Amino acid sequence: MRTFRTFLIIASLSVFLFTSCDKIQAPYALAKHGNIVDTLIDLDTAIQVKRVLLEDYTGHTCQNCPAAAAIAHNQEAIYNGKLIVLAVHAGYYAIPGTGEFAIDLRTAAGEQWNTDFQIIAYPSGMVDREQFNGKQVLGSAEWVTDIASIINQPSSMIMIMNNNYDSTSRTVKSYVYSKFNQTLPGTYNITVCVTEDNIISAQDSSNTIIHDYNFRDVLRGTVNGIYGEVLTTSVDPSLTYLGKFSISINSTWVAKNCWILAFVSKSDTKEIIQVVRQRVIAQ
Amino acid sequence: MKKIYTLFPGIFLLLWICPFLSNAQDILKSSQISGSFEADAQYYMKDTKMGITDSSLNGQLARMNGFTEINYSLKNFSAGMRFEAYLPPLVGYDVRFQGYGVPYWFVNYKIDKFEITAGNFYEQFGNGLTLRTWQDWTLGYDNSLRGLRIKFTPVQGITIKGVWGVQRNFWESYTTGNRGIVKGGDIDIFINDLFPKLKDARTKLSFGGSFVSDYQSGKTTDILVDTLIYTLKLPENVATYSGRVNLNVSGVNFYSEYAHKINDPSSINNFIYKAGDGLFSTLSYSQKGLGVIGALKIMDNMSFKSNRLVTDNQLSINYLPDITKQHTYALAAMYPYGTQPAGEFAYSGTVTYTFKRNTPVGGKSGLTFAVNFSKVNALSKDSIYVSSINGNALGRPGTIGYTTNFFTPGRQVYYQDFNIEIDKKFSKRWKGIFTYLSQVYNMEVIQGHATDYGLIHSNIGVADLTYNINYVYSVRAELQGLWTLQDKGNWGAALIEFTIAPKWFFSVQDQWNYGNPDVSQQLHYYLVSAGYTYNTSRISLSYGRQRAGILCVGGVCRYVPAASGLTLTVNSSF
Repeated sequence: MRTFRTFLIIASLSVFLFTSCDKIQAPYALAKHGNIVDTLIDLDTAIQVKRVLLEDYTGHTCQNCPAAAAIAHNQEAIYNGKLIVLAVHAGYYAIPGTGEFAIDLRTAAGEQWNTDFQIIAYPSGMVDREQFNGKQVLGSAEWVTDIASIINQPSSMIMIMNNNYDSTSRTVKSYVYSKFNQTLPGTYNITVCVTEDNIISAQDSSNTIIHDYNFRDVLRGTVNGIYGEVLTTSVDPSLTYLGKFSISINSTWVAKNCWILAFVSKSDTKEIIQVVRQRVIAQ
Repeated sequence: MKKIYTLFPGIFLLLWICPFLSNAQDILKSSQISGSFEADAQYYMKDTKMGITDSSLNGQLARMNGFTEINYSLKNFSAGMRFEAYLPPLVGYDVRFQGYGVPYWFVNYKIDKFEITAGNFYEQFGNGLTLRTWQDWTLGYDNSLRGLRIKFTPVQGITIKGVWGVQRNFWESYTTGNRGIVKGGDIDIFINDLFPKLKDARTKLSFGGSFVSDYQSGKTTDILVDTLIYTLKLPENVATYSGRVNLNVSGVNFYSEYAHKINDPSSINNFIYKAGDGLFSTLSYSQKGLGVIGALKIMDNMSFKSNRLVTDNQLSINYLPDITKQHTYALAAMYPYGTQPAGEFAYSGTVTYTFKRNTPVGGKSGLTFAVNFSKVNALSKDSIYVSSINGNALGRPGTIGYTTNFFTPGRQVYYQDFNIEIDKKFSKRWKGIFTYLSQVYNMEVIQGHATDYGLIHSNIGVADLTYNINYVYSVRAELQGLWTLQDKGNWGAALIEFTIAPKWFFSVQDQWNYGNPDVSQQLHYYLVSAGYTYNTSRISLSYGRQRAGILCVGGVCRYVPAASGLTLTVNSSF
C-alpha cells in the first residue's frame, strides 16, 4: 500500500512536471513594414473562398452610371458575398457641381487609380484588376462575363478581418489576417480602404435627375497609402500575416454604414488576388 | 466589497461552532484561541513647506489601516481568519487596498502523515527562489495563495509539499485572465533523519528541490515597439525549478540554491524570452564570540509573477532574497536597497566578534564589534543581433534579450555599503552603540528617479546611548549625521527617549536636512511620540513630520510620501 501511494505521488508529480512548461521557440515575433506583422495565428480552419473585387469607376453627373451600378449590385447579390463592389468616384463626372450636385465623393486614391489605370470613359470598371482579352479596364457590359470567368477559381490566399469600433473616439481597430495557400513569386501589397453605403444625394441619369439616389459602396479613402503597403516580398505559406490598422471614421460619415475593405495585390501588375470586407459596426 | 470575501466569516464561524455542539467539555479543554489586532490611524495636516496642500490631501484628512486576526486550534485541527480594513488606506499604501473584508482565512488539519490546508496560506520553498508567499503589514505586502496545500511526510526526514491556488491581489476576485493559477511542489530530504546511524552525527546534510508553475491564459499579446505593433507568442505555462543543499560541519554552514525559470516575457523584463537563472549561496561559521557569514547572490531575469503585466510589488510568486544589511536607524536607512529583478550580482560579508570581559578591549563588560560589507552590481549583459534593420540591441522586446556571463558582475554599481558597529556596555547604567556607514547608492536604478549627479556617496555616523537611571527609568539618546554631496545634501538627526518600564515611553526626535541645496527645503522633520503598554497591548501617539523616501523590507520596497500630522497606533495580542 505504501509503495503504491508513493508511486502515485511520484507519478502525479511527474505528470505535473511535464505539462506545466510552455517553451516558446523563436521567432517570438516578427515585424514587417508599416502595420504588417508576422504571427502564427492559425487560419488553417478558415473557409477557403476566392472573393472578387469589382471596381466601378463612376460619378454623380455620369448619366449612364446608375445602370452600371445596378449591374454591379445585381452581380453582388447573385454571388452572395463572393463579389465585392467598390464604387470609385473619380474623373470628370465626379467633379462637384452646383446646387444638389455639390457633393464631392472623390478621394485621393480614387483619382490616382483613375489616372494610373487610364480610365477615360464612364462607367468603366476593373475585375480584380485582371486583364480580360488584353484589357484591364472594362465596360459595364463586359463585367458579367468576366466576373463569371474567374469567380470560381481556387483562392490563392485566405483573408479574415475583425473590426472593433470605439464610438467615443470614432476609431475602428481593424485586424486583417492574411495567409497564402501556396508559394507565389513576387512582392504583394495590402491595401486597406473605408467605404460607405447609403449616401443619399442627387445623381444624373439618362432621362432624369434622381434627387435621392442611394450611393452604395462608395470609396471614402485608403488608410495605408494609394497602393497600400508591402505585405511580403517573399511569400511564406507557413506564416499568417497580421495587419493592424487604427482607422478614424470621419465625422461626416455614418459609422453604421461604413465598411473596412482590404485587398492583397501584386505589387507590379496590381492584380488583386484576394479581398475581404467587414462592417465597422457589426449588424 | 466582493461577495466572495463576505462568505468566509460565515463558513469560519460554522466550522468553529460545530465542534461545540458535539462534545463541549472536551473541546473547551483542548481548544486554543489566539489573536492579534492592530490599527494605524493618521490625521494629515497641510504643510506647504513640504508640498502638502489641501489639493494633495484631497479632503481625506483621516486615514486608517487595521486588522484583526483570530486563530483557533483543536488537537489536529486549526482554523483562522484575518479581517482587514483600509478606510481609506494610509498615504503611501496602494489605493487598491481601499475597503474592508476577510482576505485571509484557512482551515487546516493533520492526519497521519498528511497535513491539509484549505483557504489562504503562506508558504516558502527553500529560500523562496521558486515560491514564497508572505505578508508584511508595514510594507503593505500580501501575496498569499488561496487554494489547497498538502504536506506529506512519508518517512521521517522527507517532507513533500504541494500547493495549488491563486494569489491575493488587493480585493480583486479571481477571474480567468486577471492573474494566473500557481501550482508547485517541493521535496526536502534531511539525510541525518533518513538514516538512523547519522542522527547524532556532527555533520548535517539536507537536500531539496522544488518546481512551480504558473498558468496564465492568453497565447499572444500585442506590444508597441518603435512605432510598430508586435504580436508576441506567449507561454501560458511558465515554470521554475530549483535544487538546494545545506551542509553543516562543526559550526561551518554552507547553503546553496540554484533556480532556473523558463521563458517568461513580461512587463518587468520588457517582454524578452531569455530564461531566468538565480543562485543564492551562503557560507557561515560561528563559535562563541565569533560569527562570520558570506553571501553570494546572482539573479538574472528571475522575476516571476502570476500576472505578466504587473510591475508593482503584488503577485510575486517567488522571492529574491536581499543580502544587504537592513538598517534601522533613520539616516542609515535613508538609502535602502531594493532588489532588482531584471538582474543583479551581489555579495556580502559580515564578521561579528565579541571581546570578552576583563580584556584590554572588552573592558569590564565586554564589547561587540561587527563589520559588514555588501556590494550589488548589475549583471554583465551583451547585446544580441536582432535583424539587419535593427542591428544589435539589448533587451529588445520579442527577442531573447541579451546574453550574459552569469558569474561576471557588470560595471554599473547599484549599491555598496560598508559599515562598522560597536556595541559597548560601559557600566551597569551606561551602554552605547556606535555605527559608521559608507554607502554608495544608485537612485536612478533603485528608485527610478532620473538624477543629474549619478551615484550618491554618503557617510553616516550614529551614536546611540542608553542610560538606565534605575530598573524603571531609562533615557536613550541618538545622534546621527549623514554627509553627502549629492541628492538632498547633509542631514542631522537627534532623538531622546524616556522610558518608564514596562509601560510608558516618551520621545522627541528631529531630522534636519541642513545641507539641502534648495535652502527652502532645509526643513526640520520633528516628531513627538508617547506610548503606553499594558500586558500585550500597546497604544502610541505621535505628532510631527514624516520625510519622503522608500521603505524596504527584505529588498521589497514601497514609496513613503512626505506627511505631516498625528499618528495613532494601537496593537494587541492574546
